[in-house]
Amino acid sequence: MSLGQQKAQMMRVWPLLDSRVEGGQLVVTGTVKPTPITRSYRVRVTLNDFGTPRVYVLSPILERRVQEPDVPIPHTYEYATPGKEQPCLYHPKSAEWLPSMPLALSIMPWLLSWLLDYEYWHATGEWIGGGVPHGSTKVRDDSPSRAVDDRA
Amino acid sequence: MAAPYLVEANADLDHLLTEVARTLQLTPDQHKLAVKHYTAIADWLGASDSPLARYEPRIYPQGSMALETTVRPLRRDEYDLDLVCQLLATGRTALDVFDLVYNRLYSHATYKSMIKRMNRCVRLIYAHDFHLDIIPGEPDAARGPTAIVVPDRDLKQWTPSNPLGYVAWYTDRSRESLVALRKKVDPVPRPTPVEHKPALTIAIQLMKRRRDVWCDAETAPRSIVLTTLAAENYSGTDRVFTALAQIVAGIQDRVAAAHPYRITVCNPTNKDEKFCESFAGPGCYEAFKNFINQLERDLTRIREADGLSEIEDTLGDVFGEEPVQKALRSYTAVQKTKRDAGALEFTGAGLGGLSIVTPVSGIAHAAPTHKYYGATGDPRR
Repeated sequence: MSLGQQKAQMMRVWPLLDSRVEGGQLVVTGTVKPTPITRSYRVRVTLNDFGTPRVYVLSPILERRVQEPDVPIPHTYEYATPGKEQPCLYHPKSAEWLPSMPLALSIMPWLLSWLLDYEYWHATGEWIGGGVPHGSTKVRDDSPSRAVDDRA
Repeated sequence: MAAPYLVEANADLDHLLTEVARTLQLTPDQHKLAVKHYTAIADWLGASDSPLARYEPRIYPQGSMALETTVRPLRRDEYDLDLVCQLLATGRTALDVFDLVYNRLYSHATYKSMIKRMNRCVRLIYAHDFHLDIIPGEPDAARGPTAIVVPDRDLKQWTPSNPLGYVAWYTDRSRESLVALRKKVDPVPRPTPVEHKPALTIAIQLMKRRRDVWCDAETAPRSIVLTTLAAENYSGTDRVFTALAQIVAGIQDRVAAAHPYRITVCNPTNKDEKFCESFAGPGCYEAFKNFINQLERDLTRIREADGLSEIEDTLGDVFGEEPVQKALRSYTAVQKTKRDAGALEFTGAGLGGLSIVTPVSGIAHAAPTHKYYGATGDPRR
């Protein structure tokens, strides 16, 4: 899908988000609320010509748990840098996301799911959304996710 | 005066409240045990060689077991099963009839050591935080086909009651079907799973739990008072949260209207049976009013909680931590299960949303399955 097509699809499915193509990127910004009992989040998703989506949670910023400030937020890029974490929504080596897939029907709902799992983890310390650890070459689900980080 | 809630609460919050209520139900084992004891007593009282046999005792449950509003006890508190032993008109005095039933139970080798005379019932105290109250009664045809009179030992006379009428009234108020009503009368019914219980019943269970958490035991409002007021003020909704809001607002209005007098709470099917006599104890009416006002504050906090952490804190404060943790976990787990099955629906309309419990409004799509990537959390693990 071209950026133009991605943008058109975004606007159809997510009409209240601001979707625009600028500087060779599709930039989608707006507020989402994963379920009636979660918070609302202002998020930004970008997609460039190479088809690499990046996901940012602008506000409220993602935070570690107060009770365990040394434990990074699970399933994030830049997890060692508080304030810079970005959700990891899929395994880059898997075929779960391809540039031919519509952002609006893949990355976006995955982001909602991730935010719900994040809120639950934040409240309880447990990540029950499943997932695969960094450094793993296997795309294997290890849920509930308490597996050792291979890279650590 | 409280304003009634006009906004329907959401189904996800209601799901959480129902899951909290699930953890308050009697366990299947506790229920089995209650039925076992109930049946044994009914058999003993109704045996053909019993001195009661000539009065054709009819045994049926009353109170929370009959209504399925029982709540697991907090801490050490006992829970109880009330059963009525209704005899044919004996022509004897109230105290005589009480003794008749008492003696029959006392003459049983096991019950002899567990038995205790209460004001209006014979109590059998079982070892495991459980007691069974047997209420003797005779028909009171003048007051109605199901009305009875029950001995009151302090007053040394009969007092009016109507447990069957109450159950029928409650069932009607909670909008249950008549099939469900028949289930409730002789013998103790099979437990209804919490997701099939009417919103009114779940609301009452949550209120009782909140009472157990917040009130002092000595002045805590009686369950029959809370149940009756709840059923009277419930105006029909499928939402547990909305039911609670209706109930609290309705009770506050009644209290305000009765001021400076106390409200009356009686059996709607037998106005001479006054449950509100329990308000007469020192501090009791004050404690009741304080509890209702606290409930209002609780509901506001719940309504205003933003996100799972705040909901967990708030519901944990109100109902206790353990029920809430289980509820939240099952809610979040539903998402994963649906997602893995490719059955998680979402919409991009409005603020977007996943359909965990509440169906999405707006066009729904299925979220493709995926797995998160990245560090799983504690690098020490």
